[in-house]
Amino acid sequence: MTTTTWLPVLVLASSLVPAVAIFLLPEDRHRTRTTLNLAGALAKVGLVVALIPPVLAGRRFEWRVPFLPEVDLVLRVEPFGLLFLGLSAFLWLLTTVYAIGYLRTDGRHRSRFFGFFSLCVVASSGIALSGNLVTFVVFYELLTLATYPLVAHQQTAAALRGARVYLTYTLGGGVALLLGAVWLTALAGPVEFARGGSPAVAALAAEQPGAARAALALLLVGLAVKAALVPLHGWLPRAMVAPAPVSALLHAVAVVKAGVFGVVLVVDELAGVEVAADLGLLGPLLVVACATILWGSVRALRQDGLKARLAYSTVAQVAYVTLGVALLSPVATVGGVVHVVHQGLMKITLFFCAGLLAQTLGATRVSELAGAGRRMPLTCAAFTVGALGMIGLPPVAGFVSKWYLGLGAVDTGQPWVLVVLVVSSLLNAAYFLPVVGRMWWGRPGSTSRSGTRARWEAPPALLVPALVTAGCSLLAAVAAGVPLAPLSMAWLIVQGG
Amino acid sequence: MTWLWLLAALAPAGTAGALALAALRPPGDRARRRLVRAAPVSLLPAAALAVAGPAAGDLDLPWLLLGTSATLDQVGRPLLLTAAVLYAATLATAAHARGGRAAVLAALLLTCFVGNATAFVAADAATFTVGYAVMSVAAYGLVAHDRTAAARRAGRAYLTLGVVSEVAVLAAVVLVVSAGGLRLADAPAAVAASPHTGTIVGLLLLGFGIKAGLVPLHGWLPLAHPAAPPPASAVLSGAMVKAGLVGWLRFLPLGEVALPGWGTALVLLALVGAFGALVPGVLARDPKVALAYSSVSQMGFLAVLVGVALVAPDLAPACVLAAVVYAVHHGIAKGGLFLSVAVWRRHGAGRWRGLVVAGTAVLALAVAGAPLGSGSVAKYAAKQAVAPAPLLVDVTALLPLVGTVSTLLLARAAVRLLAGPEPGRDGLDAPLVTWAVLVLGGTGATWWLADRWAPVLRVPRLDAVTLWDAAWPVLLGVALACVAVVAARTGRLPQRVATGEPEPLVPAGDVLVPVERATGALLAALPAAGDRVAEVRDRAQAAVVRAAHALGRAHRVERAEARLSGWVPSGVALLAVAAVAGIALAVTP
Repeated sequence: MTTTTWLPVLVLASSLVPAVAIFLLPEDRHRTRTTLNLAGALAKVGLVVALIPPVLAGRRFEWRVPFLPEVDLVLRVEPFGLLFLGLSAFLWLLTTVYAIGYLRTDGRHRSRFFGFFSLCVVASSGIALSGNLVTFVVFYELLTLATYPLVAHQQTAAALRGARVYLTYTLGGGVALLLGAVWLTALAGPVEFARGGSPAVAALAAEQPGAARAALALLLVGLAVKAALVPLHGWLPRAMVAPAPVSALLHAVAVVKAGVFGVVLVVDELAGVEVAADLGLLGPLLVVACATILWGSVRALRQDGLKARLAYSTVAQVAYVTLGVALLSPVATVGGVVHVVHQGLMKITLFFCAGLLAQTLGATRVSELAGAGRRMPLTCAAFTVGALGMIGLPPVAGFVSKWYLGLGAVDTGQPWVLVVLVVSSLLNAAYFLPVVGRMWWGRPGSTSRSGTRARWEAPPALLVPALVTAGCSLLAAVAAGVPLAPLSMAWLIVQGG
Repeated sequence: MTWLWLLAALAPAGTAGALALAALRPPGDRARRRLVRAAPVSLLPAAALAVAGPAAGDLDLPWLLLGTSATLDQVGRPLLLTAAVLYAATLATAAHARGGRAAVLAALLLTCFVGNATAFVAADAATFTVGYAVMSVAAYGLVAHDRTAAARRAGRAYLTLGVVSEVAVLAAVVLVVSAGGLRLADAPAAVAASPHTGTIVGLLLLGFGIKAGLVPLHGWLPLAHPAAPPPASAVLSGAMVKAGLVGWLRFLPLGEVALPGWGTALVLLALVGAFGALVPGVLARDPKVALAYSSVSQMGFLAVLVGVALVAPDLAPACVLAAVVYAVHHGIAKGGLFLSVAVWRRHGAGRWRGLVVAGTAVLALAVAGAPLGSGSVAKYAAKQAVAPAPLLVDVTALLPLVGTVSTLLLARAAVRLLAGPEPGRDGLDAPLVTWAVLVLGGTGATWWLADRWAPVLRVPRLDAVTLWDAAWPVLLGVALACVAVVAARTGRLPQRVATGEPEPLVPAGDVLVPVERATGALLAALPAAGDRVAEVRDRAQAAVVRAAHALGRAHRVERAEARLSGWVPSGVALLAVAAVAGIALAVTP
């Protein structure tokens, strides 16, 4: 049952209004800015929570407005979009708290920062809510533009360089996406996302398989940039120059997730899994996903910079989602979809902790982390939870994702994918466990900042978000079978409800 | 009685959490010390659960994790009781350990217990996997607890092998579940019917073999035991290695299908372990290394039972029961022996010296399988189970000699312990009492258990033949040990052999030592290769940029245009991918 309503617009407005207001605020109005930020973030969480029961009951909310000739801008609340929206709303709230604490010491251009920060959330909400391809493309490009100033925030030479690389990659990807979208729209008319695939695309695939295949491939290549699929992942490690809250948001919900969310949309809701498989798109996608998983992990092994190691780990981890949709199995799709949430929770925990360690101990390199567990036990405990989850060890969320991906791989008769998962787990262990081991059992060296205080735990604004996300990473696995848990939602999305 | 199940899990888990938080408080904090001392009590519900047995009903919580279920069957129930008793004794010892960080140690032990017990009683594959993983990860904390160089090295070896084990198990379990073996009761049949039976069995032997100390995967045991604090060694050898055994018993297609190839291979490896452990073990310098090798030997004995069950499905039920009885006996006796090391170091010169020596001797004789001890019951059961096995080698003729091997290894441990630093003279305290209870209860319990919970097996009757059967291997071992001691006293043995000083002839960890070195080199080389590939890619990218610049100059495009060429790398990458994708798609029909 679809209802036309302003609700989806309200969701966007909850971050757009603060964005505009913050841009207009003078630098020194800290309190007003904080209030606006938190009010917007809380309003968004509230809206999303209010949307969950009716959507689970089968209601759909839609809002459309004419945009181009014959093409509408469509915002629609669907279960999968709502999952992504819920994730971004929740993590935005935590990241805002964290960012307010983080930028307290280094306070230049805060209005600009939080303005674009909110805009970035507008863009990801728009992506989550988009009901057709054109709407998706619009918000996707907006996301690129909104994140650039965040990556370049520190305005050092390295930051500007990293941000330029980021922009060139993502704009290039955007062009490919736009071309694909235009081509597909020209051939099949304005295509809307639908469960099991758009009928217009299915018809096109039957009539002109070559053109449909090429247009969809172009879309996927464009999306592969933000999804950081090898060999288009080069921007991600360079974008590490951004401040920690930005990296956290970029890696957990905003940019990279928008990429894989798009991949899932294109495969599952635009083409439909069967059509995509018939067109021969899933095989190459599967191979690319596997290659990305392995390559990202191998590169991560060698990074001494903690954030760089986490960045390469993101490359590998996000490809699990692509892997899930590329395997022609509902079970694997559940694994992929649920990993959107799980990876977000775990990776944001890791980045929060990386920021905490850098700010409090001055440790940005893995080699400087020896003995950090004695100084900052809570931070390191949160980091440990995230790292164990990334390896796929129970009872952390990553285990649930890997379990379903593995089952799906065997189900579809492709047990070699299981080998990829196994090798990837081993590699993850090889680059995460030494970090964890050094934290807890290493001898504090001369490289880390020493002092008279025994404990260096960060202020609550920074520490609490990390602990909350670490707790959620555990909870998502421990209570995986509870209704409203990410796993139950993923089943609902895949089976339809 | 779901509440009892929940209490049994939540009491230790909650206590572990509280201890972890308490560890954040300054040392010497009274609340913290009290909590550490009270920790063993949190295992009471688990013990009560094991005693209640089937009366407690099954646990089924579909919302927890991937669906959690547990049951107390003839494998899980006795092992749960063993674990509860052993961990409680261990926690009592750990609470009195010298030096700080007792709270951390206790928290780790409790976490291990939760995982370990979950693995024992799990009724479905997902629950088992979760418990197994929680135990494996927390055990790393135990091994590396002392933060010495040796502990770090042992931790690294444990972790590397542990992760391999974990991943192999996970892959095997995923295959088992897709074959329809989510419920552990269905798992063996599912594995037998699966198209991947060989792969699954191979992964299971690898994954659980690491945990169970199967040769040649046993290397972490002799490294971890001496490095870990004595209470940690006690549960490592007593309870955790048994999780590997339980994994085999739960997942291998025992009793469903005959796998003579895999079974014979396992029996042979197990025999190599059971006897091969003698060489590095009797050359050891550290008493705990000798004890660790004795564990390797004993686990080899257990693996023989599993191998026989793989070869001969009709013997499987008896073999499984015998393995459980043996695991219970060995868990208590060997765990107790490791605790004896701690008890000796605290009380060995004090008023209770006689009691310590007597208790240790009882445990040692039980492990060796002397008559009337728990070991003789377990060994008798095992021999009965494998007697009709159609194997290349006559296993029943060889198994008694494992008792000789054990005797020699334990004699070595005793000699090295006595040669160690002067023990303390502490008075009567909680660790000593719990240890004494463990000695009495543990050696007696196996009789009772074998009688009550494992009706397929017969408890040996006390006639002259059985007594002699149990006695001669131990007597042979004692005789050989006496000869060796006399030879050492009279200087007929080289110093290195007699004492293991300065370094034992065969280093602890034996085959692992060269592998450790090779792996280190390989790990250093692999990422470097990755760097080289990245270098090549960067160079290629730079070349493209240069070429673009050159192009720009050639056409004398203005400066603004030239700056644009910085955009080229991404565009080139994108176009290349699009082109490759296009070609690939054009080629596919």
